[in-house]
Amino acid sequence: MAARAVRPGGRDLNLEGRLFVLGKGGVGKSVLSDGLAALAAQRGLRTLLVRVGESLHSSAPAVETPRASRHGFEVVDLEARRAMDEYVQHVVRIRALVLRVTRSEIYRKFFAAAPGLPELVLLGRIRAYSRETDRHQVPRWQTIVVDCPSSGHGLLMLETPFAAARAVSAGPFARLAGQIIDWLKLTKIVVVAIPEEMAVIEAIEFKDDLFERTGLTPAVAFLNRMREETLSSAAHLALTEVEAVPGSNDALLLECALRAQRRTRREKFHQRRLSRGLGLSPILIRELPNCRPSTVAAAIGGERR
Amino acid sequence: MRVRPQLALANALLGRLMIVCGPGGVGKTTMSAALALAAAGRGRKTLVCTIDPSKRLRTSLGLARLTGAPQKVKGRLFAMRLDPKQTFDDLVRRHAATPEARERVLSNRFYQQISRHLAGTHEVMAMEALMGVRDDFDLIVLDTPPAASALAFLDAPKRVLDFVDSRVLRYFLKPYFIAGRLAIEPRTIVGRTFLRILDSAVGLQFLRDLSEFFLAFEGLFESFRRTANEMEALLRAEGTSFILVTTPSSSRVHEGEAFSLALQERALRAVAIVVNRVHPWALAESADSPRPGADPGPSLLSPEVRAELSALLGRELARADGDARHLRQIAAKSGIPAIPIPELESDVHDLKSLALVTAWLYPAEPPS
Repeated sequence: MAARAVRPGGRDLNLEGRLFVLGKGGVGKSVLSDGLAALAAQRGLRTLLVRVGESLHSSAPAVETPRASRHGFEVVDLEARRAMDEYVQHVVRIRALVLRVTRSEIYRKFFAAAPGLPELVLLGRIRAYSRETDRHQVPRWQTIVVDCPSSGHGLLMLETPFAAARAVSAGPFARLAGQIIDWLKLTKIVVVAIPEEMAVIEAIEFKDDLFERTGLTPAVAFLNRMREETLSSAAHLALTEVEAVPGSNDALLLECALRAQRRTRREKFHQRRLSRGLGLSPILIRELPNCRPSTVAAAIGGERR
Repeated sequence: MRVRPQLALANALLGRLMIVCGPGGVGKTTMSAALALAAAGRGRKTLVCTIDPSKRLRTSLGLARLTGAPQKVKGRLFAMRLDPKQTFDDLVRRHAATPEARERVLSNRFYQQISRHLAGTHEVMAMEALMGVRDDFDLIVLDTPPAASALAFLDAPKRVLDFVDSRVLRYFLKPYFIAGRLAIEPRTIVGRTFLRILDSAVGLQFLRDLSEFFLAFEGLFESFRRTANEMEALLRAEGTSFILVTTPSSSRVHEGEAFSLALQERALRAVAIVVNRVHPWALAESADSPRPGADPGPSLLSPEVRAELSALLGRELARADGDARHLRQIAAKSGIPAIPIPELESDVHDLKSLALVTAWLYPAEPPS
């Protein structure tokens, strides 16, 4: 079992193609998506970061068309309603009529009410980005990182074309669903968790649900916010042998060491459980001093800190 | 002397309904259970409602065997597991005009999608389930369904009302699509263009399926609308209070502020923000959180070990400082009293550990 000695890292992670980043809310999905995009850009790949749905981290206005960011990749915020409006423009082409349609109540409400339509339109838009080429037929982007909505909604989005294909057997809707399914099969699913009970359980359940409903499986897993504080053997020995005076500096230091030891034990436990549950060694990401994409990229890429 | 934020929370225990909001993964279910435990401890017959709690909490609350009825946990504490899909199915069974209509809805593939996924359905169905048992309890603590945003719950009735809006329904209930072709053309140019778009986007087959669903569902919209309206009224009712659960990270500061604003806009009562998983050292009110002394004094540790552990302590203190800072910011920006709960080293998985959390929410309460 030589492989076990190797710390799974992001150094060999292939970042070409599409990566859909999923996970429970609050595990650092958006931050890792930024980092993955920055890392891909650093490796010389033309990269687009697609942010789907509301972002909790920013009150900045949405980026409606792909635009260069300060971190070497392009970024776009995708919203189902706007993607549908773009589609209407594409079909109708007469500007005045487009406005009348997209502003009409019936259109707005139909779109909100039609089951699966928003999800399908979103995926269709991302697929269209992945097929965009320049004049010389060179793909505009080599890497597309999709920051998906948190677990339940993210799963729903991926599941929709499969459900649609089952529900509708003919017509453009079924054809679109089929095209998206073929495209999704060539997409990497990235699962993010943190070393906590609920997050790990949800990541494993997500994997099972995803497989059951779509046949897709995660290709990459991240275990984020690891502290991995390891004590030297001398410190270990001190924990068992030194009896510090209560309230002394020694007592404080030893309490701190004890906390770190217990935390590390919990982290190891969750790491094992996640590996077993996903059948995949997670890439461990340390708790980071800041959320800058370059910092996160370095952590993913396994550069020394 | 400043007023303890816990007082605000104590008053909420005297109300009828506490709605616990928050993004996923912050410990909302645990907090809901701890709040309910506190209320029950004060002699109020209390029901905590939660959707799909983690297995351990479920076991500790005795919810393992539950389907959808309140079950006694201990003393005056009851718990109920909410199943939105089940509630929705029950609603269909109750209100469908005929057995045929009922079967048509339940077996319709769009119904499967809608009952599971339509935005706002879970929230409204949670409220629907509550209405049924409301009169049996002094207080209900509702753990809101997981959502990306803490605000999703507040907008649920509006989204559902939009969905059952009569105008959009009238459109679908007209037999435009039934024959699988445009038998009758809509009169307006917008209507015609709209249909053309739909035809090219989704195809008439899809529209026909959809129309069938709406036809089958027709008789149910009224009760659906009524539930959504009742929910809206209940959110505003005297005796209803909102609590946000969050964690002390920088990204949550903005969220607390947004939550506070959203409640103000809707004239709803926020009583407290519970900030969960705060570093224990960030909790001390004054300077008695641990600091390395200027003069470390005689040490029994070797210089190497002392250096190693001092570095560790430094990192730990930095985390505590960060938490303390974010805690202050959350309280300051939201203007809502913030109640910190220390990070516990083990998961809360029984009534005893739950009581520890309760003791932090209501420090005056003697530990039981």
